[in-house]
Amino acid sequence: MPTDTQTVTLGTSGNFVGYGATYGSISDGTANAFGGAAWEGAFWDSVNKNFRIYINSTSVLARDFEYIQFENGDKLYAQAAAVQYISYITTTQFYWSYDPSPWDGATSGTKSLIMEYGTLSEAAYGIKVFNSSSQSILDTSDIVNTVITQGSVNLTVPSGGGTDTSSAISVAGMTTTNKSDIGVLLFDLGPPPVDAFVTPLNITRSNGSFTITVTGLTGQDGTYTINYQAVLYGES
Amino acid sequence: MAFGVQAFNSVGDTIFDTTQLSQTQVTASGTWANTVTLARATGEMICLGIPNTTARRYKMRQVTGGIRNDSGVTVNYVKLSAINEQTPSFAASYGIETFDASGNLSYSSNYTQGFKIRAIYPEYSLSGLDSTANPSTVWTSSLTNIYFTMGGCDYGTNIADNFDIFVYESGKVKYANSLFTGFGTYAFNNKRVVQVIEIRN
Repeated sequence: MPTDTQTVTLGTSGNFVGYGATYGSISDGTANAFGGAAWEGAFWDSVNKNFRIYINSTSVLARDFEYIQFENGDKLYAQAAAVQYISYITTTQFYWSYDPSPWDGATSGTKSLIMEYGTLSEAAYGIKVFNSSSQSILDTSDIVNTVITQGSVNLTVPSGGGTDTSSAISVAGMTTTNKSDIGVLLFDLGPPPVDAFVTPLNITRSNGSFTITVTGLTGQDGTYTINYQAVLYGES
Repeated sequence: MAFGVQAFNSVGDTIFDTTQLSQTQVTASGTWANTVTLARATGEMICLGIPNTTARRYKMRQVTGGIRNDSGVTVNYVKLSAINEQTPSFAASYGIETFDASGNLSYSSNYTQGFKIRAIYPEYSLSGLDSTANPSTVWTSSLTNIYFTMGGCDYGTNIADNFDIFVYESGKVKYANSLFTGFGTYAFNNKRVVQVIEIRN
């Protein structure tokens, strides 16, 4: 699908960091997904921990894009956005809960913001696979899970409660931050979550590997088999 | 790479790569009755279908032999599996299969259903509460053919109140990893990846 790259020159106003009516700026400032409508805002609220974009409109806009993506790789999907038409400034607001700063803490300088939009028509390149009923089962527009490595670990909660952490599990290409490209899927749930301050299963990312930690309380001792899969769904 | 096949979508995401272990495919689907334990083969992941029943939450827990549904209701599920765990059974006279450098199957078109990821929420990217005191929204469109990975939750002792991680409200599926007490509501981030997938056909 096509992408629309905006360059946001950061400014601030109260809690807001990014581009708005009285602070910051944007280039090129037109939203390809909405027929060239003007971007009127793209800012993060540092207190209420949300990110918003404003697109000029005279009525509420549909979610005619797939996602927006920050320089840190994080994507905010259109389907997850709260959408509101704000009549007094003739704009449609797309709103996501988001923390920490999408600008990596910066309050000045420029940052890129990418919007992927539109629907893929017949591609001039790529791959498409059909089943025997001529139904598509793989398409160039897809995002899929490609397995890098998988397996299982046995982790033991000791008598009286406590934690157990796996050895490092190698994943080529993994870093502490590239969560938008490589993820770890756990197929098991670990001990029942019976305490608000105890997370049964945790993943700790490192460069080139990750670990899994199981935490249990008194009465939850025993060995838990945790199946995992490290998957590539972004750029390799 | 000196051999094999790679394909990328139009924004550079990998959709096909024989240097990796395997693709994943839909290997099973069905309904999951209350109190039933679903077994899983190696490399097989269960994803939940969330019906549009307001305020219904879901309780799944790990037991010997698999994952047990203690939600009090039947839910739809699909299983996704790494293809390299499947026995090659390609008897058709058409289609595509790929193998890795060890000769293990890494992709096959010999499946009737495909899926695509519609949204990915990395760990710690969702909040159990947003600024309007509602859980984060993870999906707003039709729920037909839409499934969610089980992301785990942080707290829950009673099926009637504070389990599990997804809840349907007002046309939206929300991430509801939170604790309700007499003193207020406490939110938790997702500790693992949440994926929204769409079964293609």
